[in-house]
Parts: sequence; C-alpha cells; structure tokens
Amino acid sequence: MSSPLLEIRGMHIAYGNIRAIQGIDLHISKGEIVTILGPNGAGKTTTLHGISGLIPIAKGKIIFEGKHLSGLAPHKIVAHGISQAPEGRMVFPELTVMENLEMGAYLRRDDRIHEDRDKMFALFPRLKERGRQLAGTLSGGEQQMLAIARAYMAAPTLLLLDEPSLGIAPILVASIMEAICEINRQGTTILLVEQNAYAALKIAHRAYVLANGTIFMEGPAKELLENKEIQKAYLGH
Amino acid sequence: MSESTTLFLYDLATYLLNGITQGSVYALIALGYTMVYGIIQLINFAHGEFYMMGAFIGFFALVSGVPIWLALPASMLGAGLLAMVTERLVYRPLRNAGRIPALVTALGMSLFFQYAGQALLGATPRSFPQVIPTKTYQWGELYVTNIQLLIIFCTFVLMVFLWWLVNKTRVGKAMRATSFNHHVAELMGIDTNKIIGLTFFIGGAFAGVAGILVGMYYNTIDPTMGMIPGIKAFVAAVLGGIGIIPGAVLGGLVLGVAENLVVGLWVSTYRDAIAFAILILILLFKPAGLLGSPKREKI
Ligand SMILES: Nc1ncnc2c1ncn2[C@@H]1O[C@H](COP(=O)(O)OP(=O)(O)O)[C@@H](O)[C@H]1O
Ligand SMILES: [Mg+2]
Repeated sequence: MSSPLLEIRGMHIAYGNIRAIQGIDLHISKGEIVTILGPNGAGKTTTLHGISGLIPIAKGKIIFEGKHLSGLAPHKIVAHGISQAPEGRMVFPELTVMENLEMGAYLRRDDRIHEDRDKMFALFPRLKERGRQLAGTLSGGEQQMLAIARAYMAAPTLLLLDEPSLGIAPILVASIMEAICEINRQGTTILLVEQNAYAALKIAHRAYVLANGTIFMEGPAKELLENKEIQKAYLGH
Repeated sequence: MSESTTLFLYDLATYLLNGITQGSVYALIALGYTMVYGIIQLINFAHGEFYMMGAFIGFFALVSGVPIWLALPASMLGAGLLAMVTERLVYRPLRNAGRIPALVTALGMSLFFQYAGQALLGATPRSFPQVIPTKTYQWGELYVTNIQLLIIFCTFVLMVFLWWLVNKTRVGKAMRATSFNHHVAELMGIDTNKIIGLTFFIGGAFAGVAGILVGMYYNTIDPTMGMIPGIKAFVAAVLGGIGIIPGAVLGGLVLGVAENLVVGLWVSTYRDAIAFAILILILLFKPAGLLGSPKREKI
C-alpha cells in the first residue's frame, strides 16, 4: 500500500488545561473524501485547527506528503497544499466575492487561477452573479459556497471543510454536498468535518467518529451508514 | 457686499485654509492610529513619536545637505522602519497578552521615546532649516504660503496612494483580510505578521512625513513635539471612526478646521480644548465615529 497523503499519529491538543484532543490517529489517501463526524464539542474543529497550524499540537505527528507539518505557521501549511474553509464560513465581509476568491489564491503565481475561478463559477453560478457584491451581503448558503470556493482557489492537494452544512437551508445542503463531490471527482482530496452525519456519509469514502477528543469508531462510510449504533446516535433512526 | 462682510469672508477663508493645513497633518498622523487599530485593535499611543522622529530625521538630513526631495522620503522611510521595529520588538510579544497590557505598554513607549529623544537630542527646541524659502501668495485678503500648499499637496498624494494600495493591490486586500480576522487571513496563506509589520511601516511613514512638513511650517522641532499632535490625531481617528481609513482623513480635517475657526472667531486659548470637547461629544452621541456604524468597527 502506498503511504497516505496525510497521516496523523497520536495527536494531542489542549486549550490550557482543557484536553480537547487526546491522542488521535487518522490517515487520508490521495483521492479520498474522508469525514470526521461527532457531536458538538467532540474536537472536530480543534483537529482541523491542528492540521492547519492554527493551534500548536501538544504531542504527536502530522505528516503530509512525507513532510512533518507540526510547528509550521498556518500560512506555510497553505503553501504545502492544505487549505481550509473554516467553521462558520468566515468569508471576508467587507471584501467583494471576487476579492475573497483572490485572497484564496493569495500564494499562487501560476496562470491557471482564472481557469479555477471559472470552475468555481460553473459549480456555484450564484457566486458569478454576485461577483462584485460585498461578501457580507450574501445569504448564509451563498457565503458557504464562497468559503468553499475560496479555499479551492488555493489549488490545494487536501481541502479541509469544517461543517459546510451548518446553518444552511436543508435544500442547499444537498447541492453543497454535490459540489464537494464534484470537487473531489476533479482530483482534490477532501477532509470533511460534519455534524450532519447522514449528508456526510452519503458522499464520503471513509469516516471517523470523534467523541470527547478520541476516535471511537472508524470505517468505510457505507458500513457506518448501516451501523445500528451510528444510526441511533447520529442518523435519528 | 459691504466691506466688512468681504473682510469677514476673507477671514473665514483664511481660517478654513489654515484649518485644512493643520487638519492634513492630523489626518496623516491619524491614519497610522486607525490602521494599526484596524489590524490589531491597539491604540498605539506612541504613534505621535514617529511624527517627532520623522521631523528629526528630516532635520538631520537637511542640515547635512540632503536635498528636500530626498529628505522627505528619507524621513518617511526612517519613521516607518522605527515603527516597524517597535512593533516587532515590543508589541508583537504582547499580541496575546490582552488589550490593557498592550495599551499601558504603548503609553510607556510614548514616554520612552520622548525621554530618549531628550537624552539623545537635548530638550531645547531646534530651529528647522529653511530649505524652501517661504513664499506668500495673495488673493485679495487671503494669504497662502507655498509650505501650506506643499502640506496639502503631499497629504493629497499620499491619501490617493493609500486608497489605491488598500483597495486595489494584493497586499492591501491582505491588510483588509487580516483586519477582519488573523486566523482566517493565515488560512489564505497570508503571512499576517508581515502584513502587521507593513501596517506599522505605513503608519510610521505617514506620521514621519507629517513631522518633516510641520518642521518646515512652524520652523521649530523638539523631542516632545509629538505629544499634543499625537493626542489630537487620536481624537481625529476616533471622530472619524477608529479603524476606518477615510474616517481618519475626515476626522483630521474636521478637527483642524474646527480648531482654527474657534481660535479665529472666538478665543485662541481654547485651541487645545476643542479636541477634547469634540472627543467627549463624539463619545457621548456617536461613539462609533462619523463614518462608523454601531456594529462595524473596522477598516
Ligand atoms: N478556544 C478555546 N478555548 C478553550 N476551549 C476550547 C476552545 N475551543 C474549543 N474548546 C473546547 O475544546 C473542545 C472541542 O471543541 P471543538 O473542537 O470546537 O469541537 P467541535 O468542532 O467538534 O464542535 C470543546 O470541549 C470545547 O469547549
Ligand atoms: Mg466545530
């Protein structure tokens, strides 16, 4: 088996004396959609913050394409090929949609930026219509599309998505999940954090279930969809 | 029009012109306050001292024979670098220490620069070299000097430059992104420490050029010259809406004009009280500033 694209070994993260992540192991292979599920406060966002370098990891290793990432500044990690659409969307409200996308491509100097932007416009036509509008004036769903598109504009090898369905109208959730699938089909590996387990398991290849800072279940998404325990806890069956 | 009305109008025009000149200086300094606040929510009370440093750099450049067109950028560069170094060595280590420790440190830096200036340069005011002989132009009873025009012109050019930088360039957009949220900006690949350093540089450079221009205007400089204009520029920034770039310009001009009108039409001893009266009024009635909406507090 070839070595994974991203490998996390024994990662611990603490906020002061709150031990948010307590030794997790996780791996993602090229081309996969992997999802991390779990209730509020499980440590999903903290895990993504750890990968992106927004919070130092107390113990453990993060290895991406064979290189150790721990200790690097977040902007350096973007340069290594990992970008993130953070929880709560966090688009730049006083920048236009176009400028938000430009910021996503901040580190790029290549000539395929326009091509990638057009790809995102094809995927999210509303963003094209609203290109000159301030991002703060968009609806929640549109802001989520923008957050995903902005992260995509970094041309990442691995795209981290933190709860893209959070606070989005249910009819939009399906189309956002479909867009994530399409981005993956075009070659971007995706780590998708979700509380909406059903929506995430439908598009993911594999899943990890996180609770209280540890992984208590993992496996192929199909198996987890069928798992009685998961159905009871997360799928409302 | 009766002769007295005409004279009154000329007087008014003179106060306005002096006010705009003075206000340009406040605006140049206020920009640094507001940009730094916008990006790290720090009221950098030492900011007036970069204006003083700009004046002294200009002074030493000019007395050693450097031509004025080189002395102006030199004082900008020098004051900008000093502001950047201050951020790097003093404010950055305190970035996560909370607002009050940073504020107290900023006050401490202000005093430090004033006393260090007095120790190194002496406390006695120095007369600024008259590199550009003052010329006075006259329209009727309105008088304007070439130095006033130079101040207004430099301010205008720098404002246009800053507008272009912030709104049209990659780095300017990165500044706006950083002022929204450092973490999110980092997630774009933006080196926010560099952007913050650059913000201090620009703020310091603008204060620095104000310093050398004021040296030429009032002909005298000393190590504590930054204190009062620094406080007034802070008032100007709050007046316009702290963190809002056009607000600093508006606040500076309004303050400069208000001061000169009051001094001209009323009593000159109130000059320095105007700023504080305005500060109290704005905090009472429109705390977000002239251009600030109650929720929106940033660039
Ligand atoms: N900035 C913070 N300071 C202190 N504790 C935090 C902070 N952020 C998160 N936590 C704690 O860490 C745990 C995991 O949080 P988080 O990663 O946000 O969970 P999730 O994204 O799964 O909802 C929670 O117990 C939360 O209260
Ligand atoms: Mg979360």
